[in-house]
Amino acid sequence: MKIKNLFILTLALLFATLPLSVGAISSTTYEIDQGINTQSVHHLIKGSATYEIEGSLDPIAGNLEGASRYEIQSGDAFGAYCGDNFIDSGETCDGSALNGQTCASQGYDGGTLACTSACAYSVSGCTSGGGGGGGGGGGTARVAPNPPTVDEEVEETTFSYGSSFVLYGDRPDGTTVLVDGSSTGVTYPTTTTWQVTLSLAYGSQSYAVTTESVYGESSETIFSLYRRLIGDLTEDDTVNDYDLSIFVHLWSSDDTEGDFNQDGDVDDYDFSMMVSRWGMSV
Amino acid sequence: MKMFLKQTCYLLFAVFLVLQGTPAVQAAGAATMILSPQSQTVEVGNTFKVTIDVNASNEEIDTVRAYVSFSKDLLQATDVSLGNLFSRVSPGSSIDNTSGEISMGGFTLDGPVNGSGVFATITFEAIAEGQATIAVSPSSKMISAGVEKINPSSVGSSTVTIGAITFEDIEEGAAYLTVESPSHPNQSAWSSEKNANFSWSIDGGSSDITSYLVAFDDQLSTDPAIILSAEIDSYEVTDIADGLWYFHIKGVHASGVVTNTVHYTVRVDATVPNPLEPSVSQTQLLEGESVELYFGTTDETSGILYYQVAINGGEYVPKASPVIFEDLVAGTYLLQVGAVDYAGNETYGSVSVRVYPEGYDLERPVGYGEEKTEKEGAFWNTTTMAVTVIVLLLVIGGGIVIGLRKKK
Repeated sequence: MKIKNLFILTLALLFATLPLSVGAISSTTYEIDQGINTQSVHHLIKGSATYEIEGSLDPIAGNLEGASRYEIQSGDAFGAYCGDNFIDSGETCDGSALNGQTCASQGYDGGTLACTSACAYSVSGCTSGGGGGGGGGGGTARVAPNPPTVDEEVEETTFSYGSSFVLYGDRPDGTTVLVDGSSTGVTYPTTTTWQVTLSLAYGSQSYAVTTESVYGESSETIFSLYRRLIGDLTEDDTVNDYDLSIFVHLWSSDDTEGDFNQDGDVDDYDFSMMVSRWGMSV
Repeated sequence: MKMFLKQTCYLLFAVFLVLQGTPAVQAAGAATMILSPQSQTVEVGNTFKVTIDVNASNEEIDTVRAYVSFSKDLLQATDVSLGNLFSRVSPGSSIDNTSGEISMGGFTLDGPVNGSGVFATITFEAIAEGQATIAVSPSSKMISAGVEKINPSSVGSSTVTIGAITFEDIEEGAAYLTVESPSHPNQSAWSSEKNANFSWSIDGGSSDITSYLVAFDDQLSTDPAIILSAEIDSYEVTDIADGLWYFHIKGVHASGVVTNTVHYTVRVDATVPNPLEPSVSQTQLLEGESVELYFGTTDETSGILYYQVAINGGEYVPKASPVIFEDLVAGTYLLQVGAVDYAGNETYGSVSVRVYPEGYDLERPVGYGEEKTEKEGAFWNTTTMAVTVIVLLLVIGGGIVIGLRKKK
């Protein structure tokens, strides 16, 4: 056995395994967060605050000869106002920010809840229908509680374009819920429900949701979803012609896959958001 | 043993090559893309057209991307426009006369195409003598619902023989005709003006002009046939559709001699760019944090020239996406973006951002700010796996070597 052969073998092994680590990228940026804030900010937002922003600019073909640096502008920051898409004191909603409310939460069966120009709910788009159903039971033995359930609608969700995601569902009465072993951020709207808002990284995500009884017994369920870059319909973490090819088949529908701005229509506004990220990879 | 080692090495190199070379989407299909005409002869200074013809070959094609290269020292591309099959321009379409490359993408929202026709028309100007080649790259795409359908071996090329410049023969005794357009004074510039007017003048000539022959169409070198009397010295065309148009004119002398023919180019784009939906990396942030603004759209006829950004109703400043805003003090910011096409048509969109004072509780979701991502997890997993495999194989290899030495 010659040393030379051993060297060749080692080199070959190195080349053979090299592709396994190619293409690994990390991402720490966050995409659109449609989150809202219901706390009063009037005392925090200074209407007369000023800003000044500078930036560098590569000349755009044909129109900006030699421009390389400029002062974009300076001026006053706005205070809070009805119409700024943020829910402030005295507002129940603002623009597309509905404080997590839906027609269902307003006592209707369906439809689309809207916000008026006076920043109050408009239920004119909500619809009413039939009745409801009833309740559950109990137990006495010290056995592991039933695992938490993830809401059916959430369960069916396999992807998200947003940087945050509200996970919620039911739990056995008297149990606490842990997400990936932590109770941080978990809230309990009722004695048998739970919810948590999660921050998503790009790519596949998995969460272990556990119910824990007062005696320490626990049961677990797993929830998974994929955070996509906006426009990445093929889930290959880049936006290109193949995504566009799928996008055109969603045109004029309300399919959430192509409805990047979540306004209920797949249209030119969604196309614009795709164009914004054309060629990007995460 | 030596043979075994050699074979092992070959096998491992083969694995390396396969893993390295596997494309994300396999190109396989029957759809074709060729150039037409396959050959033509022009002179220096001539403008001519080449069409990119596609044949879906019964595939249901919805999205096409043509990558075309050309002899940059002999040719200059002046325009690319879509044909009738695919009405919308895809992002990423461009002409680069420095490198001699064109990327033209188009898609349809009116149902897939399964027949054949013109995908796009490229207008070239011959700038030097020689034999020029225009070629479609095999990496061009013809996609059906996300699946590649092009036959890469089907892509074609076109040759252009460019001869020396020869000035148009002016018939003896004929005047020299020149044309101006007050409405569209620059033949190479796009305009949003839909009405065009033209005026002309003659220089020289041994007899009076008795009539002019004119035409207005989208062909480069039409022989005009509409007769105008000699007293008329201007012509107007109204409500011109978006696109590349030509006004053709020549004069006829009493002697029957004709002047030179002028083909005046008119570029009209009166349509605003497609809608613009700006978006931000986060709508709520704290002082000291940055926010990224993304924007983009397309324009079917002349293309997007630039974008401009303004804050809270301030002045618009040209800027490319993404724009990163830093050091915003607490307040509400309306980020406004405009897209301007080459004809000056504009479209606008906006998005709001709220900046809170440092220390304010934004009630951010669980996991916000954490560095770990699935991608990083994948990186460590794959790296760890790769190292493990190497170590394992080295141990096995070492074992074999030691075994062989003991045997000796």
